[in-house]
Amino acid sequence: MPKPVPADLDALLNRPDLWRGGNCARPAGAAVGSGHAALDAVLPDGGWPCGSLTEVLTGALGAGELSLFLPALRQLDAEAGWIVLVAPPAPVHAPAWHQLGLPLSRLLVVEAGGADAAWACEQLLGSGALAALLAWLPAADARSLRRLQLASSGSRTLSLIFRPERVASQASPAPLRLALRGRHDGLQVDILKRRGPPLAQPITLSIERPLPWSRLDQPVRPPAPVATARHTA
Amino acid sequence: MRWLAIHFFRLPVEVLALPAPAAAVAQQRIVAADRPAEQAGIRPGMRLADALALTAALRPHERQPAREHAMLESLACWAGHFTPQVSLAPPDTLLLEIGGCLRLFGGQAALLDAIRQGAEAQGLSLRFGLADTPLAAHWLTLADSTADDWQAALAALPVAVLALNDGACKRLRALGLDTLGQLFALPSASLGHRFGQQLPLQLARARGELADPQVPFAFPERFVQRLELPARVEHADHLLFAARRLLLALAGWLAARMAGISTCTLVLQHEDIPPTRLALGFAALTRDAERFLRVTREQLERHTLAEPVVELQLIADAPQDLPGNNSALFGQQGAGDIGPVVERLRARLGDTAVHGLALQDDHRPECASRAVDWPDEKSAAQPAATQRPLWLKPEPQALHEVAGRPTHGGTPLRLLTRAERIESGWWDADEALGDLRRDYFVAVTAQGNWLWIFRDPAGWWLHGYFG
Repeated sequence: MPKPVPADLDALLNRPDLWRGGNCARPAGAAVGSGHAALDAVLPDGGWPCGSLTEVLTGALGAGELSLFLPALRQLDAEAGWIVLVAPPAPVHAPAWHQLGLPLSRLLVVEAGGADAAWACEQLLGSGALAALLAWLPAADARSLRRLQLASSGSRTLSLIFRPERVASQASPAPLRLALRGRHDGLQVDILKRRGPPLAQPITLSIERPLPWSRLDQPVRPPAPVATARHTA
Repeated sequence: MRWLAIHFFRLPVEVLALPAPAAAVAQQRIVAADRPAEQAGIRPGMRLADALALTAALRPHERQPAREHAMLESLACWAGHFTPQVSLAPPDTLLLEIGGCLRLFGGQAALLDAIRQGAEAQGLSLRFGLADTPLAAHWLTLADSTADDWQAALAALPVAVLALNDGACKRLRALGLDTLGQLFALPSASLGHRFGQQLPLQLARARGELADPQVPFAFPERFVQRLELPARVEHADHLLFAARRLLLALAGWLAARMAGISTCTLVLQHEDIPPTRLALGFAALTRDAERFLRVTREQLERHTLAEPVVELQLIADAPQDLPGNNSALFGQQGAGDIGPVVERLRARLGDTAVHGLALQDDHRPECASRAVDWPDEKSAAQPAATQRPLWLKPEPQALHEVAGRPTHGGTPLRLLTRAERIESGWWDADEALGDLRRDYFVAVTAQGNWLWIFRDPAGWWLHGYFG
């Protein structure tokens, strides 16, 4: 015979930081939809959480590490604030940003290295003026990540910290951790950590790419001849 | 009309910024003593010899009227933060008309608190007087009175506030007249007959029966203020306290002129070498004293003084119009202002470390994107028709070619598009990137990373990543 659940336990289970092993935690705060139904279904908040850190582990550039977040970034309007990139791994190309439907008028780039980058993130999160923070912190230690998690928990900012794949085995204070890997049929998203039971299977998403994914199934064309003579009209 | 008189009763000694206990002296008599000296029993008017007998450690310094006046003008600028109507009552009093701005500061008590805190942050002691006429407010500073019933407070004041000559004072005392209230009860014609016509006129002005127009303080066109330091300062961060006085005055001056600045200069004067000029830059037009202080602190913390500093000067010569903000009707709060944090980052990381991006009308990928100081609202340039990569390498990276196909990381790349020819730039071959002739392709690696590569007569190159 199952014992009746004491009332105190119900109150406890209402806390966003406590959950039963089989279920996900209750949504803790605001979230912004990821634009992929399959992903929203497995994220405890039903989307990317605003007001806590999300750690994204990526390999080489070009797998679609930014494109995964495009639908969410487009939803953040001018009221929500600025989008700030801290220590991006390569210069951001303005025409691409514009073509993808993101406003350049609310984008700022902060070039900083090492400890300065983490410091800049903390300052930016504390200002309350950001809709999204995208930071590349390959060398950040657990202490500075914990500081960022604290700074982020007081804000409404979508906080994405990009780190290399090799730190997957290290502990992290971020409540949500993802590993991204490019594949030939989409972007493979592996949820390493979430407030809920571990996910057995990585999910593969057809994120936006410059060409339709079906193009990858077509046979390889030989490259065009090299441009040697000057083109004359 | 509601007049607030601010009496800086220790101004002669506080302007000198000497270590305590200190006193300002004129003709061998104490003019003003700082708080520790007053606690030791030193009072204004005392002989210097008596004062030194009380406290041997006292540092007397000759009074400097010119510096007091400059300080009072600087304080008038600072007071511009609270009200646009400021008048000087030399040597040590300011008169502020505050009737029109009580609501802005959330009531009289809040306004007085703000003024008191601002003065204390500059190391100044003050006494308030509050009344409906400027003269009464000035007199009431003697009693430090901010009572609502100012007429009763005025009637209770001693006749000493009238600053009559010794003979008149003696006669008043002989008549048993100690307070202004007793004078108010007498017929003004006979008062004028006995003590001169000025006395009844003064009384009538104080009670509001006679107009008493004040000359408004004219806020200067350019803000140039200097502050002599009491001692040579060898560490940059010790300058902050002195700079604070100048920065608060600057903020008040800007508020009174409804202007803002995006840059100003702090000049550090040395004894022997030419002055050091520190440029203070702000992300957007501002007149916020907190932002001034924060940027100055960051600048001074990073600065190493070549020589001790003897004087500070603050120059702001390019104010621009900056209207005030309207409060929201229901007090709702939008996203915070990013300006202050950008200034903090720029002060520590350098001016170019924080930037926006803008489009530029150029077909060459390297020239189509440029860093701008601050993002523009609208951009005129039209981007290319085909999708560009989010990450563009600053320098193209050479790719090996194996069997006619480019490789990346040892594995061949798959090309997904036809060549997109970019051929442009013959006009700036000498000074910039110059003439390009490239065929661009979208390619994908064996690991599933999407690249933007091009081919030119020299071979294959990796130029960007579709992030």
